[in-house]
Amino acid sequence: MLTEETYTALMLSLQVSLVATIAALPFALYLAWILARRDFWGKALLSALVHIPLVLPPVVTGYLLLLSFGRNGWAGNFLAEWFGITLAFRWTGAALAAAIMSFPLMLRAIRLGFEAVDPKLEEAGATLGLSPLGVFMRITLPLALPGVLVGAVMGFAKAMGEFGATITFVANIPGETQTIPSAIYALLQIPGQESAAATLVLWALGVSLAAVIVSEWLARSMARRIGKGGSHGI
Amino acid sequence: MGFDLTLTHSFGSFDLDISLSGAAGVTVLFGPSGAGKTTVIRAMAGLLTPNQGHIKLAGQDVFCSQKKINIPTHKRGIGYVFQDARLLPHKSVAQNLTFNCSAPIDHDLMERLGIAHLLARRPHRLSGGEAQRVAFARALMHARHMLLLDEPLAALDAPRKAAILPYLDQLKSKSALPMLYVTHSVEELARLADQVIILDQGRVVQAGSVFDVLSEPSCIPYLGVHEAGSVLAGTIMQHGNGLSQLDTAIGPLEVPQLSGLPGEPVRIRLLARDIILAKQRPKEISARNILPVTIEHIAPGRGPGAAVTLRARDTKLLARITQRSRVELGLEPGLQIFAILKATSVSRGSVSY
Amino acid sequence: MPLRVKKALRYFKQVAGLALILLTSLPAQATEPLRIFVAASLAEALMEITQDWPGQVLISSGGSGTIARQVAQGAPADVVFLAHPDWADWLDGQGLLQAGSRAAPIGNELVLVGPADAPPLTSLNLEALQNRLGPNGRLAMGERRAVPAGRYAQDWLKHKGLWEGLQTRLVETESVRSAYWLAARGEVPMALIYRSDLVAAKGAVAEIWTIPAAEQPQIRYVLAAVTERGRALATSLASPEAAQIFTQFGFTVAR
Repeated sequence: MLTEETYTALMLSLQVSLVATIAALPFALYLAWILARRDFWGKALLSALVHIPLVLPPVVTGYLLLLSFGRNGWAGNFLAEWFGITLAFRWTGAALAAAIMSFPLMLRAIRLGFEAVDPKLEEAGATLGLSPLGVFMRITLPLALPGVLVGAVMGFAKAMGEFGATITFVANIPGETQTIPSAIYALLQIPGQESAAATLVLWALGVSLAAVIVSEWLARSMARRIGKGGSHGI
Repeated sequence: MGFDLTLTHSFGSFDLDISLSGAAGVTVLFGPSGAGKTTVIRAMAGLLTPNQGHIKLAGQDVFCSQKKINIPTHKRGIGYVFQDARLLPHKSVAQNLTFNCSAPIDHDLMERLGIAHLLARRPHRLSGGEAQRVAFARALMHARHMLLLDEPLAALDAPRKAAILPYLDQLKSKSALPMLYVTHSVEELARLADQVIILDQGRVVQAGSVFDVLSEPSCIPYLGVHEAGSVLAGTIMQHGNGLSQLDTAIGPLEVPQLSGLPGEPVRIRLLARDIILAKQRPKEISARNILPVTIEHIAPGRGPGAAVTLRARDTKLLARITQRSRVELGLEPGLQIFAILKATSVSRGSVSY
Repeated sequence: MPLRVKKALRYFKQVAGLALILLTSLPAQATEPLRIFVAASLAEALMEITQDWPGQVLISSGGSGTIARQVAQGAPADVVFLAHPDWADWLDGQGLLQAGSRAAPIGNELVLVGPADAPPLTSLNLEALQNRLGPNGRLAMGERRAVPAGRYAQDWLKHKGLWEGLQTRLVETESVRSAYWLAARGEVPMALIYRSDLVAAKGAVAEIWTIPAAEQPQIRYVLAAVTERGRALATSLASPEAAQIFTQFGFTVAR
């Protein structure tokens, strides 16, 4: 059932989605923490801003990415000249598109995770001699881990399915930027390729569902470890 | 070792304007809810930044609005016990105790606090009282300069509170650190305090040693007429016939038998309403303790009662009688009379070590 | 049953009845527009051609594969106009096209273009193309199997012996319009697109190499009626008058 082409698209999708998730995670953690714990001027604006990819048509997001990160774009120019990095039409660009498209989902789950951590425990952490960074690393983050995990998996699943922005930004190059959704789209443009497309759909579904199920199980076992969030003193 | 604190801070309804200091032993910050107690202890810990002021801890400026010093909480070397235990739910009891702390677990202390058998447990499997005892131990292990306790028993019900108080006596005797203890419970105050600071509406209304402050009639409104009464320090002399003989600053006293050994120090609380006054030494009376005293001061209360300050040897004692008795007996300052105290009125619960 | 609910129900019945009458009477109206599903590259030319049609014509454009699948799933098309015979065959095989309505009146040519300011190539070989691409540039074209223009581009590159050498230097897009657009934006130094796209570009891209007629692939658009009502429009679109307008948009007339 797995042709070489399908295998290539599957592996590329996994690679793109994993890199997108891992690269987006630190930013999502930082922003989620800021939005959950800090009050500052323009907070609502920032929150709205990071949700833009959720409301914008993906094709528009892809177009904006190409305008910014293409070889004539300001960011593309800067990256190419100073770091020799090209994103347009590369798998790295696909990862960038996937990361941006999945960012709002990831951020939302992680933010909820942080908001579920009792700030009183963080205060207690300070009285136990932890610096603010220490409080974050040793109290907030471990307790928000189920939420972080859910966020990462949601982001990964969304990245696996990202199509509109990806195909606009990095096109549909087999082996380079042709992820599973792009490959499915291409196959549907050819008469008689329905079963090949169906195979890819099943694979994509399998990988994403497996990720969701595993994360669900992990999050539950973590929640059990910390007493389902309910304990004396919190 | 000790602390100094001067601060002003704006609240919604009033301003806190306060100056206090304390040394080794337990300083109890007492007052009604909303008096500003929690603000003071949180400022001490650096969990709250006062508008203005100066806080000195173990000889070091930890806050000074003038010199723009504000050392963050984690560098103040404090231990803090909150009203709720706030144990880290993702750590075991032992891990909570040694969290961010290299000191080994002191098993003697664990025994004294009755938590030695709980070390492997997760916090969500502890009872409220157990969790709070772990919180005490954890704060003690983390405190280098001072221990701050913010209404640590307020969240517990009466039986749990009664069960935990003896552990606090242990804690007090075990630790050489200065402790600032916030409470609105007279019982905790009488039992644990060395020094007392009474706060009301953001101001210090009374400060001094627990023995002096609790014998002060002006404190009665803050303590409540039923709870007011002096605290006495004493030593166990001997036990017999179900009674213990104590040597106290006001002379020998007989109380229901205590668990301590002869020679051990004790503290007893004599409620003002339990003291009977007589102009003559009564004869053939069941009460075991009859003390010759001098009336020092009589303060009429707002209701039918009057607070009588007595002096026995060099120690003050507070009694509360009705205005009518006072008139009928003709009690006046300077008069030498007798104070009568039933042995059984000194309850086990009001004895501490 | 409370009176209010009864009243509401009666009202609902009346409204539903009225709606049913309206719905069933609509198809009988002569003003019902014709719907024509067309390959994206044909949309502009068809808008002009159908202007004089004595009735309303609605144009829905997209990739030929997408259109064919939509029609197969019952999309309300009266006429289809596809960019590749394969999809017409596919629809025909399902008995969805009106017998005898099929025609292939126009074709197209492949052109090699660059951004508006790009100078023409002086020769066509791998070295010249690689020089033009530079270290990072790519050649844009339709996806090699899914997009008809991509298939033609692949065929031509293979025919010229350039395919192997350019394998890693391609950007394959989901439509030929995207390939055109990348060249117009200067994101790529070269693109293989249709002559009709070049004409529509009005100077936004420049032809940098003219592919001689002998090398041109057979590019054929296929037209067919899906409904009986669509026959007349299909016939009209296959007429020499229509072909005249198509040539103005850069299409070729079938020999």
